[in-house]
Amino acid sequence: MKENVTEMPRLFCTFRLEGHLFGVDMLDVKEVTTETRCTRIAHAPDEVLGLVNIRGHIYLTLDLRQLLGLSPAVVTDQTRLVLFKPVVGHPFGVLVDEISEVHAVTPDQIEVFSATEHSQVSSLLRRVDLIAAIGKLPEELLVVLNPRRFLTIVEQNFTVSA
Amino acid sequence: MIDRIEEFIIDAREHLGIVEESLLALEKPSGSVDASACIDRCFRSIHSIKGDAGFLGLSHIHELAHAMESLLSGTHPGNSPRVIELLLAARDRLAVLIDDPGRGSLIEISDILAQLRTGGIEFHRTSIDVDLTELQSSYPGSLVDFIRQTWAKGKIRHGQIQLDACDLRMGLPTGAVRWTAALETSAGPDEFVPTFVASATSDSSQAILLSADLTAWSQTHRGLSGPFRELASVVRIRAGQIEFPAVDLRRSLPSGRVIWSGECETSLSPSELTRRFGFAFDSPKPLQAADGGNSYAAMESPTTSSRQDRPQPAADLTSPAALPPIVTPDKPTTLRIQVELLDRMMTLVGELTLVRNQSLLAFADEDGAQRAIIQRLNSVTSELQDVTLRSRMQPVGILFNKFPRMVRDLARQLGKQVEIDLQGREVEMDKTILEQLGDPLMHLIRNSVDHGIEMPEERIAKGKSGIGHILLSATHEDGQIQIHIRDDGRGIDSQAVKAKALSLMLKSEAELDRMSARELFSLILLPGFSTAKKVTEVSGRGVGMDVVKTNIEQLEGTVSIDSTFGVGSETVLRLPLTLAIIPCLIVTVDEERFAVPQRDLEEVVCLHPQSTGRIEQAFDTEVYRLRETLLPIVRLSEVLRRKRRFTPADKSEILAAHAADQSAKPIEYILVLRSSGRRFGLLVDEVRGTQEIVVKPMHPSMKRVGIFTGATIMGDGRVALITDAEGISEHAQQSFAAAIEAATTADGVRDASQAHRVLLFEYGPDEQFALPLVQIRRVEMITPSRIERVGDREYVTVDGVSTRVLRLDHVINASSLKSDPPLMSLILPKFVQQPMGILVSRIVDTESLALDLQAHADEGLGILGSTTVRDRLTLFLEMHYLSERLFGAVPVTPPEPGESTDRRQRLLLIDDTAFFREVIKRYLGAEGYEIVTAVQGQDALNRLSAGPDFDLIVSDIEMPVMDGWKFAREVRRRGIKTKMLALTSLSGEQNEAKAMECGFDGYEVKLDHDRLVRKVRNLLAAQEVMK
Repeated sequence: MKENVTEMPRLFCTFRLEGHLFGVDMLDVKEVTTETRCTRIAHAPDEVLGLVNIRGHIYLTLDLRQLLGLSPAVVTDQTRLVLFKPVVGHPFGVLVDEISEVHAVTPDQIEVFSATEHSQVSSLLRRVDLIAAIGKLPEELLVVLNPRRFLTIVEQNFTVSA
Repeated sequence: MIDRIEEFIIDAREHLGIVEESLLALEKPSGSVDASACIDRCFRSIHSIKGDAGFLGLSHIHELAHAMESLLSGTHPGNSPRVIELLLAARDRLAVLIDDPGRGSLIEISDILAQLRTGGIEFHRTSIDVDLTELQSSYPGSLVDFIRQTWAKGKIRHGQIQLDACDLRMGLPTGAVRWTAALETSAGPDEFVPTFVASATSDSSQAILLSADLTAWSQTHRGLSGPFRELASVVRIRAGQIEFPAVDLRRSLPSGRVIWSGECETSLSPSELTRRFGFAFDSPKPLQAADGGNSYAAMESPTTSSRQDRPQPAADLTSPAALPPIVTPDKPTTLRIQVELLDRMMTLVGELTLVRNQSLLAFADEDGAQRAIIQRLNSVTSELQDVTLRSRMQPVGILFNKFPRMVRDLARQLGKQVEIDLQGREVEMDKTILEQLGDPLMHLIRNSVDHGIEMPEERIAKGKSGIGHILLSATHEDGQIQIHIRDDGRGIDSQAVKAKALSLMLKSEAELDRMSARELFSLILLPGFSTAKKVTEVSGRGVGMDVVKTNIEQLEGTVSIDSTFGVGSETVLRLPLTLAIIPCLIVTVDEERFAVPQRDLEEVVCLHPQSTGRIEQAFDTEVYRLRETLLPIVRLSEVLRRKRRFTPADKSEILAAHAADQSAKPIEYILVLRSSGRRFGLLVDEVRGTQEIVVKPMHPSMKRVGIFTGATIMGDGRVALITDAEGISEHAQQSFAAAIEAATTADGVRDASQAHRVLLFEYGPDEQFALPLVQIRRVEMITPSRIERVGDREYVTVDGVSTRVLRLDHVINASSLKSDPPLMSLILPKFVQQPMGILVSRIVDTESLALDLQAHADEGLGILGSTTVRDRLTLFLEMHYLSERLFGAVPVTPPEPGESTDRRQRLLLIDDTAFFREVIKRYLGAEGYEIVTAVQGQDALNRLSAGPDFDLIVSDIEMPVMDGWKFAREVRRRGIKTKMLALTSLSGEQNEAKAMECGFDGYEVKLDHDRLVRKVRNLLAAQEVMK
């Protein structure tokens, strides 16, 4: 039962935004919760939805849709909050339209994102710099995001709006 | 090992503190302190350091401590200052070594060692350690000779005879008999060394007699082998003995107490051994039978002699029955905990508090069992929170103890004599606060020594004692810590402070006269104030008091200064016990909750529609009259709404919006907040109550949001943000000075380019109308159902007053409303004789406009003129005309043109605003006067000198280039006697008085048509009489 390490599939926690499939590395995700009651932070950039209490800990909640340049999120029954582990950044999470399954993606299915090659993705999203890679699943494309950049973008947006 | 070293460092630092303290105490005049007790305390601490260092193999520290110990043991009470100076220096060096024990060997200590050895003291000390048996055979004379000879050379201290234990029944000891002693001598050590070279030794071990109750011991240590093995690893057990009550062993094993006693040789201090092994130990004695009681006194080692100060239960080993019932180990009552662990604990308790709050809420209505459980949870949590908070508390003495040394050194440097007294060292406060308090305190004390306390001769000349006193005390009051720093120095000269404040133009003379001494001294805390050299010299307060204030305020504390010139001054710091949990006022704005820390809060004012107080507008800000003072108002809702710092445009927008919107909110609250010494009112919708909240820091990515300091979790599980008074004030860009000045005096020259704010509204579908905000009292939202009809007249009751409704299409040429919309507005104008309101279908907006009007066809028929606003033709209404028409007053007939019918009376009208000029010109023109206009004072003067005399001058006050005040003075200076009337949009008795003083004969508020006309008539009549 020897398996080549490079052949090991990577696991992605996937979710949908405007029907499109997105994912982040499973190892970065702490938990997924239904808690969406945020306290707005006045003066914060638009993509910051506010602060949420998860069992006594305060998390910053971002609207991933706005972060990526899509229209603002509308909270429905399907809306979930994806919380990240401390390694990703100070406690925060992103709101997604709907959570999907955990996808195992083999390295040969993963390719580097290129604006020209994946034009349907680049035309959809304003912030392509948050894309880590593209996973070619049999039925659709999985846009793999790099959550470690999320807070940086928020901090940058402060400067822009100031 | 690392842990041991860490522990050693912590221990050693404490010891160093004691060493310093006791050395400084020794410097005090004899009689004031128990000098020998001080020496003992100091010695014990040095000895502990030495012992531990030796055990850990930190040879440098060991060596230095040993040298200090040697020097100290020869120190007499009331002895030379040089020794103390030297010991202090050595202590400092020791502190350096201890800070980094690992690299201690790299630090050079030979210089200090040499000083210590030869140092300070008049005597040299030489240790003698010689084997008497050997000596007897090698020494030429008799042993007695030797001793006598040695004695003659100096003073023998701590003599000790040691011999190997043996069974004395077998004869006298045959082994080596060592005589160890310290010799104080003025002769050089070299003289002695040869004699004793054979046995020169630096062994610092000492013999300690130990005894332990094995029964008790084995219980606490779970077996005996462990402790004994450990004991053996640190000491050399020379003789051991087990005693137990005689029993018949054939029946059973001994059931009574089993006492083990042993003689150990160790470098550890007895207290250390006690701590580690739970021994009761006895003072070292000569080995059992050595030389009986004779040598007892001589054998007292310095370490143990000190032990005699304390009553020690004498452990008589020979009669176990006399032992205290239980040989209790000195149970440690304190425990060191890592700060990290404490912090974590604090967080957890915080979370528990939240859970508690949540469950209180969730089970509020429950009955019976659950209720009891929740109540229990509630009380336990509160108690736990309290205890955890207390676990972070440290005695303030930790901080205070470093000041005596600082004061001493500084005083010497300055040639002063200063004594510092510490009080309340046991008062405890939060570690975090304590850590940050050091610098400000240091600063204040340094100030006291440097600037407060005078030179000795100066003090004596003043009839004070030559020695200055500083009292540093801590007390616990009302959940706060108060720290007083009092000195009996020269105090602060309040006159100098006043002079300084005047020269910096901080306050006017009158204001300064009204200030209490304490308020006056608080000026010193302002940045830039104390840095001035002059004040430093005159008042005796140094640089950077503002820094002290900033530091203390960061700790949520306050600073106040009191002083009597020539007698001394006192600074009081008030600090909270802790920062982790703070009481807050929970308020809401637009249904959002916020926590406002109570430390920022001075008071809360409820703005009730029925109450007399209301928010007014002054200059570029809103203000509230709070007991004679003007409080600038910041609306939290506006602050939240605007991401960027307020620009002048934002401010006028806010003013405009709220000038027209006085009735929208029935009840509001003003939180009177303090930030950096300034006060302002924060306007919120609702106050929900107070709550103790657990502060959670702001998310690092949100640090740029300056208006909040952190967040907290409320009882319902939602997050609420904690406001930052300073940040809010900053965001609102409050120009306090400007606001206050504009509101209290009318002297401020208004910017000529400043636009006027007007309210834009519609009645019929076709036209847009405008009225300047200065003419509007307020705007009331009404539903048409509130309109009552009496014949063809319509009324609405506003604030209990029946108010006549004016429909524009009834009085002027304007389009009509087909039907009333469900919600309408009623504009209530100022300066009308009877209550009336203009009914409006829609308030469009407020706009800042330069009031330049174009002529309009209906001019004179209720329309002043027109202008284009937002691409729309806008008609300016003439209020006076509208009210006259509404109330059906007789159309104004041109009045008698006065006595002299040969000419129309000439009036000079001065106003910088075209709009007002136009309105007033029309009002007065309608009365039949000839009006000449000027745009400001200088312009008016030109006209005065150019043309024929005027019968009356009507002047605005706030104008560019030359304002009304200056103009009036200039007119009177030129000897022109023409009556003058001041017209202004600012009212107030002060202004009226000033107007008279400047030479005006009357004072009226702009746009009040009837009063203006009446006043003009009166003044003209008076003018006639004069002629």
